[in-house]
Amino acid sequence: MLSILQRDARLVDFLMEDIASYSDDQVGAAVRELHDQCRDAIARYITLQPVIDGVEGTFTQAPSKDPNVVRFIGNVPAKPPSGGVLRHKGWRAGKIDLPALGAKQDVTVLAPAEIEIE
Amino acid sequence: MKSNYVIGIDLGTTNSALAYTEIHQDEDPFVAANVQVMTIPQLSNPGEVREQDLLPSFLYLPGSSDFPAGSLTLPWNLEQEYVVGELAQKRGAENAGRLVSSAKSWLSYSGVDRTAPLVPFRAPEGVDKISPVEASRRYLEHIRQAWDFRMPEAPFAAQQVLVTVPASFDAVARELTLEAAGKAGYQNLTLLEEPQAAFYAWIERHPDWRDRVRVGDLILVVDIGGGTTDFTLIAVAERGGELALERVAVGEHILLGGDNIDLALAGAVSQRLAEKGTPIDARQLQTLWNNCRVAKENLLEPGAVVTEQAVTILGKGSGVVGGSIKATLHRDDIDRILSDGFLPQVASDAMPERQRRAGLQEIGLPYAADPAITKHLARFLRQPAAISEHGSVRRGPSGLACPSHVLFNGGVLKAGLVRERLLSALNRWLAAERVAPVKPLSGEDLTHAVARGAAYHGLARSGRGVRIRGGVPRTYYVAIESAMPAAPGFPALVKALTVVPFGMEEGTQVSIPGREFGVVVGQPAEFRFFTSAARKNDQPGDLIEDIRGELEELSPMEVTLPAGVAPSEVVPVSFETVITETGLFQLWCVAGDRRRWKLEFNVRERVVVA
Repeated sequence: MLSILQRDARLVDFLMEDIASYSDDQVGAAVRELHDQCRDAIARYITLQPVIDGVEGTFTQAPSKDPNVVRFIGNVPAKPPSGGVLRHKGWRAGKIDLPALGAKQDVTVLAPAEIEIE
Repeated sequence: MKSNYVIGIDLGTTNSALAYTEIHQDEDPFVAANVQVMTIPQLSNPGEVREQDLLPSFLYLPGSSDFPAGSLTLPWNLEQEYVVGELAQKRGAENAGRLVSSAKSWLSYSGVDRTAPLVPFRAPEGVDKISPVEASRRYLEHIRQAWDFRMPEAPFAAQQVLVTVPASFDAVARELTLEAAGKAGYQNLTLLEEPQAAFYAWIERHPDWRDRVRVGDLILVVDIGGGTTDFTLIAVAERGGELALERVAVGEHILLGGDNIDLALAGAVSQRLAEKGTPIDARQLQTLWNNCRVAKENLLEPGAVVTEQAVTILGKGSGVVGGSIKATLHRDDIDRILSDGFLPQVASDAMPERQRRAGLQEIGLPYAADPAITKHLARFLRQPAAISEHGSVRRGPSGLACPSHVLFNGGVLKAGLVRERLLSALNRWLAAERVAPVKPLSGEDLTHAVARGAAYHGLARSGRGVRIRGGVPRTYYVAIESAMPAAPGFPALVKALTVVPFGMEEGTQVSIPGREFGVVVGQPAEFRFFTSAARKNDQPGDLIEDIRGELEELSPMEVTLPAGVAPSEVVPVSFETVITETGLFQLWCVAGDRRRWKLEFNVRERVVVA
């Protein structure tokens, strides 16, 4: 996935770059481009949907007590409650459609080096 | 085996598509046809096959260092050695020397031998070039294999297939397309002209079309694709009490399209960057070109409120932010480039500038010299074929063909602004002729219309729906050298004998009266071959005295009579022309005893006309 985000949106380049010296204007321009491309790349391979499809800040029933699905925060009583105020909807990957890796592919290379012949 | 499906294939210059529909036996002919677009599995990244509803018409010939071993595997071929589709297009942007693009434009270019290895045109030494026919074969084969993979219960070879070609394709380009398809394993194949297919798609979408057009209406089909522009006029006539459609004129093949507009936009942005002191290199221009395409589509979307869009070029090395160049495409840029360059509001007698004849011309595709699409349209509407005697063509006082309706097709015309500019130019011309403005026919799904229309047409051929009567959109001639004493400085006078009249219909044949030729047995006899889209009234056997100007020379045709067919060395023959059901043109030599030999195109040699 990291490799795909680098290939289609250059995310690794961006995260590993020292951006302290650049103006907000410059960073902003690059990030807008990058943001669009990351989103497209993710949408192509994974269908993202909320774990709880509700409005954040309203009272919501917990669909499950499985800590993988719901995390209770704040003044949590000894026995897990049936609901509370939804603070974060969570994310669930609905459909994952990642390309299969070739047998001979070196998985440690996220992005190949590029050499241009002038 | 009876075929169950009709398959329509749009073999485009930049994108190809496939649509299909099922044939139901004994079905009520008034039930709407259910035409669907099929997605085509293709490599979108090394080792990753995706289904897309378009197959980019690009072919990449990889070298040993291009892709990791085994990453070009297709579901139906583990040993694939070349790449077709999205990955080819992507990788080709990084290494253009191995990319084959616009194979179709090469196929229609008579200045070169189209069966010779020519493309990639700028391939470095050591890359094995292939012919434009072979490139087309590979696209068509990919589509066939994709179908067989998706529909294993209905083998492609058993279905009815329609492949579309530009209306402006000449007989040689059509035959080469058929040849490519034959080699790609296509069997029940018919060719169909693209603008007609676009119009069929409109009919398919509007089962009440008979209420929308009337006898005497003239429909202009404007098709602007990625790389080419095509015009066609279709007249609505009456035949046996039913509305019938007749294709009355087709334009020339113009190598000018959406890619040119996007490149011009990128040029405007890069010029602004250069003025600010940040020049960009060729590869960055490529990125900018792409970004401008996307930005243009966003800015021209119906109801778009934004007037500018960022077209940032990210840094080249691993620094993304540091090297990034910020640029913006303004709505005004698009307006200016369209109004000054591509769609100027010209008068209806404006003519596009002709190619300037430079002493040394670079060999390559004959791109249009004048980018003004409106001028090309003006010339088309004034073309004699469009305005010569034809009962059903509406004409203005100045001789301009006056369409009553216009149908748009092609990705570029998705943009409302482009359509509006074309319409306003047309309507100004019509107002000058004191004719009512044109009515636009609403088309939907402009990118798949041609494939959909082709599938619909397949149904029409099997008895359902309506057919456009058209016949051959050109007149064809064979050159005859006149018997005159040779004089130095004067080339032998050449006259042209009409062998195919304009509008000759598919599935008919005609004998050329009045002329016999002596053909020597055992030796190839070659005939120079000419065509014209403009001369419409020449009848079979008519002799044209002056071949300069309106006639365009094609590849020569040749025939070899086997030795021993006749006692004498020279056999007198006359010509007979056949247009097959599939739209293929054949010229036959017929001897007095009715024996026949077919003339073949000789595309390997090109006679240069003085």
